Amino acid sequence: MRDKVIPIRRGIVAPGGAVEIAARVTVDDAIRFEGVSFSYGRVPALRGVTFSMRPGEMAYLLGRSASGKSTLLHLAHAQLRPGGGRVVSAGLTVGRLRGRSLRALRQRVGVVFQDYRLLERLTAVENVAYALRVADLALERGEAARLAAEALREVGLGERLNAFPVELSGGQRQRVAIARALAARPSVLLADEPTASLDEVNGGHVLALLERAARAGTTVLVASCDRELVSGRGRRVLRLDGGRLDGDAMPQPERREVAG
Amino acid sequence: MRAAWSSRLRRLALVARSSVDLVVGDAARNWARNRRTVTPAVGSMCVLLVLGALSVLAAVAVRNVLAASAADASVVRVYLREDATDAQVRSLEGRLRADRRVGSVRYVSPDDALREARQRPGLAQLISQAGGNPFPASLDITVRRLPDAGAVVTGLTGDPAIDPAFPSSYDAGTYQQLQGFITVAGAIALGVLLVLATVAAAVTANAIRAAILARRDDVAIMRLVGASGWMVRGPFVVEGTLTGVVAGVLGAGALVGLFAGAQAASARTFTEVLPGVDWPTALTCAGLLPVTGMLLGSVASLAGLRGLRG
Repeated sequence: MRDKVIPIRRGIVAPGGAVEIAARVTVDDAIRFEGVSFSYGRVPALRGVTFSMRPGEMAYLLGRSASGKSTLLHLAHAQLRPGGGRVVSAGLTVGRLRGRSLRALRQRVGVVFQDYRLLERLTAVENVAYALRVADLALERGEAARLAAEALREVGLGERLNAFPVELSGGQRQRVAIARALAARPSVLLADEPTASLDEVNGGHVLALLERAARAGTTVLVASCDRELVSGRGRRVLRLDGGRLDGDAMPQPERREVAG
Repeated sequence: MRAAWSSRLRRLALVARSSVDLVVGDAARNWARNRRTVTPAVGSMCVLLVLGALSVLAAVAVRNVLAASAADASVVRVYLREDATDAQVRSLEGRLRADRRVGSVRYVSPDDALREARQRPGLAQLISQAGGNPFPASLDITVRRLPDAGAVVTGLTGDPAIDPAFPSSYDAGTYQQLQGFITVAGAIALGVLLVLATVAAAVTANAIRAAILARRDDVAIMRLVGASGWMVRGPFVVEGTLTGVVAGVLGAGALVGLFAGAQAASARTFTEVLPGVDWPTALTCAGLLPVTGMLLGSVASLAGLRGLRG
């Protein structure tokens, strides 16, 4: 399938990001991997991975430890460059991104990590506001703080706006990270084992928030090694094993036992 | 059209204000919050700045002493024959005044020479024992450059107005020793200052780099949320600059205190701790410390950021 290319004319601000970039913008897929391979030195992490996700779709990426889940997410967030094949994320081809276009991708693709990755020196609201301000320099500090507070209220942290990360529980920190990722209204949200360090209740809250984001139109890809967590959610499941995609299951309609 | 321009200008102003706030405002807030982390950097910078300033003041004092010695040494006394005629003396004076290496020529009569000698400690008694005036008339020649003194005196050899037995006060050995001392003292002062400047830069860069490395994760996170290079580096450079300014201000205070102490000690013991260094010099040096600290802090933080990738 060829990309449908939308030319961005000089002087015209592209929707979703005030940048002019010489990149292919696709309208078909939010994420697309075409025969993607990646190695850490001589150790292969991904081998010929091909899949795509539509805008607003939510999927789980299931696999054991070291199966290549994090590598796949890092490629989609342009933290790594593919060794072979092609990665398109939020309409931008990852392999060519540098400077402004790389920042544009980082602003369009939100990411949530297992270890939260919050700035410890900033409060919850400042963490979210910082991401908003670097995404849009025309946003005033006060306005950024207001939007950040709103995002934190949406994830149920309205009472802990001025708490530092060290004063928050694991579940609360993860919710701050999700609020930070969602506040900038990304078109794609990547979550790397977002519930791994949380108990069942907090993990459930976090997944509910991610599903809510998907319902609002964000493409969400959640990596997890917890088979039970993923099953029964009625979402697409991509299975990685040894760096190969060996399963891509769409949700099955519920079977009903017919009495008699 | 005008409305569009106005809107663009408003946006530009907003972006500029937001950028400054993102870099300077955040840096100032972080600096205030992380006082404990930056204290070692401030302390080491402050000590090195004060040491550097004291070295500069010491160098000024040494230069003053050497300049005074050189000024004394650059005056050569040429002794005249007792039977030299006025015409011969005037001819010698004219010859010396025409010499570009000579700054001034002053005739010293035997009475003037006696008067001067009596003012020197210990000589008055010797003169009274000698009876009469043992001093001949002379010409005091001030050479513009100390190294030219020998050549000027040699050029006068054989002049009929000059005493052939004891022509001048010039002593080549003394002059060469003084020249050598000036060269060595200058080289030592320069070396000490260079070593101090290098140590100051290295210690400061390391202290600031340690502070930056402690926040390596922050750099990675800032990049992950889409911050560009200047958004990441800017606050660190501003924090380094702030550290340098604070160290400079503290150093200036310490320097003024030390100088006041030295002045008080000088007054009590009738000795000059830093010869020729006055309050304006000390205050100028103190005033330059915050500026030096600012430059050192910003350069050190830029150096500390090199190779640090998020």
